[in-house]
Order: sequence, then structure tokens, then C-alpha cells
Amino acid sequence: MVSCRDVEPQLSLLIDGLLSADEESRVRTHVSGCHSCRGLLADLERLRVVTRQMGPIAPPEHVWLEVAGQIRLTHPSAPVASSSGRPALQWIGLAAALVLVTVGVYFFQRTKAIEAPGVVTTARQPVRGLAAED
Amino acid sequence: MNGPVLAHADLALAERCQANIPGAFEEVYRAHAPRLFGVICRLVGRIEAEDLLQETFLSAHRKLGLYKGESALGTWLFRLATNLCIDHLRSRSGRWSQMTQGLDDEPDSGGTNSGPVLGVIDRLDLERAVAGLPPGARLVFVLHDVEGFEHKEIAEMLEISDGTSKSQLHRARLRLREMLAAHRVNSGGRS
Repeated sequence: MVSCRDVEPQLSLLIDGLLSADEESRVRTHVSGCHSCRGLLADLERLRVVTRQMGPIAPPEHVWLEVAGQIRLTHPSAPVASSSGRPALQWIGLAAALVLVTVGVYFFQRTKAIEAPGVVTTARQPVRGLAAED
Repeated sequence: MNGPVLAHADLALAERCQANIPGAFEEVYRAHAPRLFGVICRLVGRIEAEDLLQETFLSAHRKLGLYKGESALGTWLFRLATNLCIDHLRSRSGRWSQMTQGLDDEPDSGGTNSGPVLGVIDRLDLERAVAGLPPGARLVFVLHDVEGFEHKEIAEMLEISDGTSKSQLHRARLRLREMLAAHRVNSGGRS
């Protein structure tokens, strides 16, 4: 007589198709007459069906950006990202370049102005004139 | 029939990556990252999964020269990712016995219940239950039941015997059944 204790570890092997014909017949005979083992077998099969639905998970976008950034750091000549696939990044790059140019022009003009103080004095004179009139 | 054609296309893509053709490596990433992220999430948990996915692709970029097209690129990447996860779990848990701790000591729940205890299983509840398994049992369960590896392959990957892989899988399934049944009772049997 086969007991539940003997059969229970074999139920997983049964649903995976890993038992020999003799073993399978022995287990199935027990299961057909045992409510408890039949219940366990039904649950294991149900679990297996849902497990098969566990599919891919989309990673957050920043993971790719970090991967691409790391590769660029270690291989500066390697163009890892496609040139046309990231319009948003291209706009960000363009905006950053524009800010750099604006800041550059500002500092260049400021430096020029400091080097030529006469120009500043002349520019401020009308203001002083107005103050004097007051 | 599709196998060699696919491997040939994969090899061509790998060569394009090595030749630094713009967008080639991104193509590899976009094609394979979701499946790899799924398995990494289930093996090590969501919090550490992003770092390990990143590490997988950086390692792939370094080792692409070793890919000779004997298997699909997806399989090659998958091995890379699972090996990183196994190393990660080993470094965290130490020996195999520690990785399966909490599963070996408990009595099997199978024979003590009468009839089926699970109703409709919600996939998210199952994801949560899988995350609650000890690391060793989780590895065997995910590799076998989710990813379709055979016990022999799992045994090689984890350096355990076929028998250990089979018994861990059965215990993992029993534990999942137990956790899902408890959740069903706690939520008023809604699922």
C-alpha cells in the first residue's frame, strides 16, 4: 500500500513529466483514491499555469542611459546610442549647448567691458546727469 | 530551422556592436532587457535588479568578442545575467544550505491538507510569494518553472545535484501553495 508520504514528493515530478510509466501509474492510482493528494496535485497544476504567465518586465529608461553613459566613459569612441532614436536627448543637448554659448558670450562681453572702463563711465553719465538735475 | 538563421543574425548584430556601429548595442539592449530584467527582479528583488541589469549589459559589452554565435544572443545574455545573480546571492547568503534555510526545516504541507486550497491565483500575489521564498529555492523555482531550464542545467549552474534541484523545486512549490492559501484566507477568500 502506497502512503501519501511516499506519493507527495512525486507529485511535482508527475506534473513535470519526469516519472517512468510504472511510477506514474502507481502515483495516479493513489491519487485517484486520495482526496488530499488529489487536492495537492490540482493546486500544483494551477500554480504551474499561472507561473507560465510570469513574463518580461520593462526596466526603467534610466538604466539604458546609465549603461550607455558608462560605455561612453570607458570607450569614448563607441557610439552606443542610435543617432536618430532619441530626439528628446538631442533637444536637451542642443539646449545645453545654447546655454553654454550664451554664458560664454556674456562672460566675454563682461571681460571686454572691464578691460575698457571708459565705455562704462560714458554709459553711466546720463544717469548721473539725471540724478544731478533732481 | 530558425535556430541557425537567428544565431547568424545575432552574430552579425554582435559584430556590428564590436565595430561600434551607432545604435547596434542599443538594439541588443532593447531586444533583451525586458526578459533579463524580469528574471533578475525575481531572483534578487526589484531594488537590486536595476544595478544587476546594468552590470549584465556592461559585462556583455566587454565580452561580446567571446560570443561566437553557438547559441542565440538572448541565451548568451541570459547565462550572463543568471550567473551574476547567482554570484550576488551567494555573496549575500554564503553557502547553499544558508540559501535554502527556512525551507528544509519545515514540514511538508502537502499531506496535511484535504482537497485543493487554492482558488484562482492572482499573478501579482504569486510574484509577491515568489519574492518571499529563500534565495536557493527561488533560484530553482524561477529557473525551472518560469524560465524553463531542466534540472540538469540548474544543477550545473548552481553546483548542486539533480536530486537537490528536484527536491528544492517541490518544496518551493509547496511553500508557495502555503503562502498563497494563507493570503487567500487573510483576504477573505477573494481570489
